[in-house]
Amino acid sequence: MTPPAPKLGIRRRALLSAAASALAVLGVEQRARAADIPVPVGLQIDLLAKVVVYDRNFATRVRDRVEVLILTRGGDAGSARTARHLEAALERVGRLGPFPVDYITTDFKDSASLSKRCRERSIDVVYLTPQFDAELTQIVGALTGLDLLSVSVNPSHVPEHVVLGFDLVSGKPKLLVHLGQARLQNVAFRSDLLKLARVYP
Amino acid sequence: MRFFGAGLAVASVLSLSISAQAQSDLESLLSEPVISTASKSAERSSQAPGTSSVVTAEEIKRHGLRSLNEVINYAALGMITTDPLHSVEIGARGVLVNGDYGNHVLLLIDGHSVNEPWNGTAYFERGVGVPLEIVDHIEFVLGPGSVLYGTQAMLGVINIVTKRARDYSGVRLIAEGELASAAFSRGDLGGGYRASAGAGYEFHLLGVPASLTLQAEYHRQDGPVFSFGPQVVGDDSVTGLPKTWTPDGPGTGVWGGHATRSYYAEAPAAYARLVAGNVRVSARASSYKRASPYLDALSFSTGDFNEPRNFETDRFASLDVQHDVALSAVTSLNSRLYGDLYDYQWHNRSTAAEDCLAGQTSGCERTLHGASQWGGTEIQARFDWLKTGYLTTLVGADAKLRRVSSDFDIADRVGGSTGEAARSYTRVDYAAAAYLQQAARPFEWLALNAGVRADRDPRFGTHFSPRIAASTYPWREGTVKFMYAEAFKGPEAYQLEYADPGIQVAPRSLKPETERSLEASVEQRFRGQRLLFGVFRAWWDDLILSYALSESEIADAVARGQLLDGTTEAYQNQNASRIDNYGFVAAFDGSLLTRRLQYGLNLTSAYSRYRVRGDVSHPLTVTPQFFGNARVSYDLSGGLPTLALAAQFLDRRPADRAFDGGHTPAPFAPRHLQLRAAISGKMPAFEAVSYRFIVDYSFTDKGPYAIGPTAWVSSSEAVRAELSPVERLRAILGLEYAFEP
Repeated sequence: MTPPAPKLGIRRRALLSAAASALAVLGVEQRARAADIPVPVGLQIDLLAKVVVYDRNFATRVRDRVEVLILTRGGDAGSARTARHLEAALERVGRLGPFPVDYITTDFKDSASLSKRCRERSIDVVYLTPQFDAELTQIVGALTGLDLLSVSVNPSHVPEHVVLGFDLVSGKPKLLVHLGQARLQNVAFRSDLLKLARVYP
Repeated sequence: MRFFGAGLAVASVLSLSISAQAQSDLESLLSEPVISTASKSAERSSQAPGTSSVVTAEEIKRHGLRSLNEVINYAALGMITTDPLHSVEIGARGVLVNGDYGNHVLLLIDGHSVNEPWNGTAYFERGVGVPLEIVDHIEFVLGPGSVLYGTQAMLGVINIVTKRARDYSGVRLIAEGELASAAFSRGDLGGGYRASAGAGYEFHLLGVPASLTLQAEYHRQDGPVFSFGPQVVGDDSVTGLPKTWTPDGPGTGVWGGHATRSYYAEAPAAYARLVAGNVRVSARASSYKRASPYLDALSFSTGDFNEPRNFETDRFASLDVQHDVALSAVTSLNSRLYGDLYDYQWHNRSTAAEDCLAGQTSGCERTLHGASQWGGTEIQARFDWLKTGYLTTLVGADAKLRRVSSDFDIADRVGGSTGEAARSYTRVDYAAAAYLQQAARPFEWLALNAGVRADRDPRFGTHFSPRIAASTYPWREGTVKFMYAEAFKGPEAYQLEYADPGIQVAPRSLKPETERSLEASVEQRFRGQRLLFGVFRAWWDDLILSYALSESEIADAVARGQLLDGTTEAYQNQNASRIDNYGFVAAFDGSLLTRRLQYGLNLTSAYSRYRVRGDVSHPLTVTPQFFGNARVSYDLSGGLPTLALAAQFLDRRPADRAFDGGHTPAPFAPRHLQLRAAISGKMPAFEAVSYRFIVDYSFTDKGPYAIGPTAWVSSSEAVRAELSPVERLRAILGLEYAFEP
């Protein structure tokens, strides 16, 4: 959990606002941070293709094709580029588990739209591109209660209730699983997978 | 009913077999390192050009590895260090350039080059100046790396990657004590201690997610006590009296004894890394003081015996600020500003008149001081043309300003007056480079990588370093790679400028040393295991060495005023040698039982010949042509400790003076086997405290360095070389207190 921002006086807030604007010019803000994607996207998809079979409910959730929704942040170059990488990787692997994969890419508008889209299109996997720090709570709220697997390219989203992520620890890929959120989204990973993962309760 | 039961049985067998294959694939993917050093972008090691290996923080901890040279010796593929008891020398694939002070390997810390521009020196033991607890993993890329990194990257590139705060959260306090024995004899015990503190913290900086990781440590080692000699030298050629190596009492003409006060090291260091949004800042400060207990051909060829005031000190400080941004779906930009300070001091006291300048009959004190300051900027643009990662172009430019200065003084030991000191110099110049790398994956089974770098430097002009590599994936989890690459090392300021009117003439100019290398490898992964076999062929040219001048060359130098009248022996740095080298590397590593059992084996075999201009070729000295390491560790879990065992073995090898020292017989270091056992875990009932107990044992007691005043002999009598000693036993006990919020 991130610490709450301290309360400040008016003059200090103005100074900090000016500093934040200066930093924004340098791109020190929520714009395409390479550090947000430690595991290359192609490798993430390769891992996802193996991980999905460990979800006991995956086969019953998917009818004949896996429907993936790639969620982008409108106007964000890094988000758009990550989405293109995800699309190319999904094209390359062709299958998640034993099932062929279809994907759509859509900008996040609000939680109600996202929730509706997932229901209407029977989405099985929602894949978050980076830079959703501000909207994450809304996204998680939209997906809670739905029967789907949420994944993020940014591993720091997993402690914030995205079900699955991929981090780099000691130079090697590490699975991250939010077990509590998995239950709320009808995802039931087998224990032999959880032994390989860092689990958030 | 019977058929239904049979059908169920068949379905069960089928689902089990699918599960086994899925498990194998997943374990293989999770066990393969992702590296960023080989092509300056994160990629699976099987897709990176060239041969690489990674040692993780977990392996470092399990085996109680406490310094970079221990990591290299016990866990890395293809690289090796040898310890002459002052600072280690490093080699790879059967090549080690004796006396190079590590300047043929490029050492990076979080991508920041730490080789200093006075002599290209980097240190690979405590002198690295990065506490190992803060290290996340270390990437070793074998062979030429100049295509992206420029000078120094000939034997390989090592990148120490530090932890993020989320992998090092809280506060840690570490205390270690150690005992060491030189030869299991009474009175030879030495010891040391280390105190360290570190922290990792995630927070928000002006509304932006940020993290800070930092650690500082102090290490002190004294002894053990080594015994040397006796080496009979005879009379001092200046005084006619028996030569002396001590200011206390008359000389005996015999060198040797117990070095009770002259083998020590002191290494304070601190490192910090701050990441805030798109900006990364890293800072390092370290000092490395050490004294060697004997005279050798490199650092202390003169000097009193058992004199604690004969020592070297290196000090480093660096700051690196990086900024990443994606400009569009195709283009991303990385920019970097960096600055470094470096300082070297060497002190050497000698009571023998023949080791000093004329008139310094009571002895002298030599002081060499080198310093450098450098700073620059690097900008890199990456173009992902298809927005898929399958066709990318990396373009970069790096420019820096450097200032190097040095002075060398030989002062009278008693009077303090300075004799004719060697030349002092200050040099201010620049270095600039541009590089281009094109990567493409035209088919799923084929990845191509080609690049070139142009370096422009007033020390040698312009030099190009190309590389072309191909990786193919012809079968499941298999990789076949091919690579041709070139590398270079520009002449160092020290090599260009150092002059001593008594013996050394500065060169007019020097060319860069060059390396051309061809290699191929096959790698197979299965169920979390990895098997690798690679072959290589390399040609090294224009290596710089201190070349003996002829009589006429000496006379010319005297006439020009570069040498003192009456000089009969003198040297000059020249591009005068070459190395031919080929061989293979092999590795097997993996884990079982959900990674509780981990193991690895690395082997290198090489054939290397060294030739000096006008001379016959001979094997390279110091480095073995067959070496390797093996390690195994097992986590008993359930509150029980982790047990680990590692071994390093080196084949018999020629000592440094085997072919030019004049000894009979030519000295060779014996086969070497070193074992490391470690036990580590959390304290029962007090989990915030963890312990580790480590024992290091060497089966051999001699290293590959000829030492003492008879390291070189010109006598017609048969003189046997005395070889450097090897510490036989060291035991370390460490405790760590971790407070994690």
